[in-house]
Amino acid sequence: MRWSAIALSITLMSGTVACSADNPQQPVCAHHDGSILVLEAQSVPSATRIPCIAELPIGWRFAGSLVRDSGTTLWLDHDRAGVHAVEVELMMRCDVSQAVEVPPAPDEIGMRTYQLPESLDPFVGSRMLVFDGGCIVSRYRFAEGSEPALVIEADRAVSTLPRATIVAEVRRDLDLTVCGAGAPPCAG
Amino acid sequence: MDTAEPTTETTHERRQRVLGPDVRRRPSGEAPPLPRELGRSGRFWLFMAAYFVATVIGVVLFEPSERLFHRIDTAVLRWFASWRAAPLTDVMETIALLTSRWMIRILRWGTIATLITVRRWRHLLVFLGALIVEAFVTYGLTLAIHRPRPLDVVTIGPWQDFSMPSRGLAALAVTLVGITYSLIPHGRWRDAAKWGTGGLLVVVGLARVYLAIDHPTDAIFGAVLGVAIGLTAFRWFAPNDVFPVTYRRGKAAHLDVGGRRGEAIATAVRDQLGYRVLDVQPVGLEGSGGSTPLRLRVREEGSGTERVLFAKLYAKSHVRADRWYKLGRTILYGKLEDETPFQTVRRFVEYEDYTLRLMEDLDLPVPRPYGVVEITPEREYMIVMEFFDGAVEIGDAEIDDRVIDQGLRLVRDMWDEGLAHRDIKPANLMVLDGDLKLIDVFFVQVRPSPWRQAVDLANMMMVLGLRSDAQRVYEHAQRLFTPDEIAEAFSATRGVASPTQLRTMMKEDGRDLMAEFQALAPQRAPMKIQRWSVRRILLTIGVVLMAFIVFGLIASNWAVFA
Repeated sequence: MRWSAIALSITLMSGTVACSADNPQQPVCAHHDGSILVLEAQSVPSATRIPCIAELPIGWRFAGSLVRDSGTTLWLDHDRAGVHAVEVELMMRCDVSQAVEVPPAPDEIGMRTYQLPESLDPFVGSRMLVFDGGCIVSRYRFAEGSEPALVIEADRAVSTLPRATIVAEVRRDLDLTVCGAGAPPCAG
Repeated sequence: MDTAEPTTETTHERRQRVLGPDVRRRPSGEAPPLPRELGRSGRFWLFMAAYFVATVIGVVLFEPSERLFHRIDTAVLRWFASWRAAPLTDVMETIALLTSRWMIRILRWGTIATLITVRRWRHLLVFLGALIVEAFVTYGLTLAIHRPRPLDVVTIGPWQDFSMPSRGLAALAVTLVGITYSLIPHGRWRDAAKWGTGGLLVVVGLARVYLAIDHPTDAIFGAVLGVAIGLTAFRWFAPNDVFPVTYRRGKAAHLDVGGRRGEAIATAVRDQLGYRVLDVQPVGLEGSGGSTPLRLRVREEGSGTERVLFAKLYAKSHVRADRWYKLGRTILYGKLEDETPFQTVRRFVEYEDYTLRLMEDLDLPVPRPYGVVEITPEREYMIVMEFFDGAVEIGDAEIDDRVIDQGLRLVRDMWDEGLAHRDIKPANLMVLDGDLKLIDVFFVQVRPSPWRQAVDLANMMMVLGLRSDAQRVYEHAQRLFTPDEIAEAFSATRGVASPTQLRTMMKEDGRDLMAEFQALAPQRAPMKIQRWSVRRILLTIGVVLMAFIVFGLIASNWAVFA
């Protein structure tokens, strides 16, 4: 009885921690074989680029992800910009009609880049990367009083991987196909 | 039929007379009357558990195993995909909707609403607990195993996060098991519901594999996990033996005494006590929550004499229920009730046998003990005693001065012998041929607190007062107790100190018997019954903390329900 009560307490308490967060697995750009990257690729089979975390500057923290059949969402927290200060979403298409096209950054060559600033204090805005078969939208919603310049750090933290890299890794490891763009036809 | 007991015969003499050729010692290695067997379902769940432990270890730790599982699963998925056709896909998509969040929400909220309506709180808590545990266990496992969705095959239909175990199937399985065990009464309907649940899970699992939402292993793992969590929760925290699901008034059948258990009871009573069992009938179930009371019609082999005996069947589930009951009492009464819960069912039944023999030894009017019968070692025992055939509960009997005196004398004798019954209520006081009998001595305590003894007196006086009047009972009580003792009894007894049945009958009676007795006795300030001790404080904090955690979990995991 005593042991079952203790076990129940531990289980319940660990559950409080476990269930209160979103998927905590971090899609690290350097780890091409990460299963979270495969899952992201599966969420938008047409997307030729997959969002990942390149490096997290001091103050930034990966806050979780939600990967489902309609797309992938990643969140970043910052100690001053706040919880979910940045939301990165991978989807099949996005609306860029209100946004302004800007030159792509060096790691964005081959993609079309758009920006949609909404407010400076608190800093609110979006950045869209449009590529073959998909689009990545980074939404910034910083806490009041935090510097808008943090957006530069946020942009440095998030990068993309070519889908083909992930497809090749899975082919090499499991001899199986991640269905979608750049892959041979799948069954069904 | 001669059912008369030779009144002067001692227990030893009776045993000597009854012990005949049928009484035998069970030789070493021979199975007990009701052996504990894993059963087909037990073996199935054990096999499944072992299989999935091996799967998880294999997938997480060994790359070759991971490749092997992927290959097998993908081969099965490819085979299913080869059958894909538009009409069949439409059907499968419709079936797979059973694992959609909306469908599961409807099922869960429907169950919760029904359980609230029928006020089945324990089942409700167990159901909520099972849902929460299932949610975080499957969530944790998906993160630990982090298996992507099926490869090599096009997925049709909605999904979220990693695939193993299948969270959709686990959620559906735990919900269906919860419905089966919290809403459907034990028996034919529940058996049908179990088969229905199993069939539905198989069909939904096949649909999800056909649509390549889950790998076959994910689907099986999810379903097994959901069923296992639901089953364990209900079998452990709301066993049917103790908390039966019924839509009739009163408490329903406890342990099933038909079938194999019925045969085991007959064998055990014959082998261990020397009586042939002619008939077993549950009796007085509405007054018993802690055991399964039975009326046994037996025949003494030697003399051919038929008798009616009373028996109480105790199982492990009763021990667990007793622990929870005592936890509640400790928190309610605190230091005055420093009871220690029984650790085993053997101790449980041994204690009742001891109190019965002790009280018989002291010539108190309790049933004569016939001994303890082993049904399943360490799991199920039965205590057998005299049956007061023809006795009526005091609430339905005519009360005269003799019975009043016997009731008061009974309390006086227990006081003098350093005992307290602790459950004096109409259901435990029987009148047989004008004589008062005391039954259910399980709560008897040796050297109890003075408070407990005082409560016994007040409860007895109130039971007697219900069938007569306060003035009359008080006058009789003064012959055996001092006015101060009576005043102490009524200053010690308030609210929960009296058994629920007595409180209910007093409410129905309409007279304020307590106030009438207090007015007759010398004035005395009410005794504090809520005393605090370190143990009680820690227990209360623990319970509050657990409640806080449970409610916190429900709030933070609202997505499980909403």
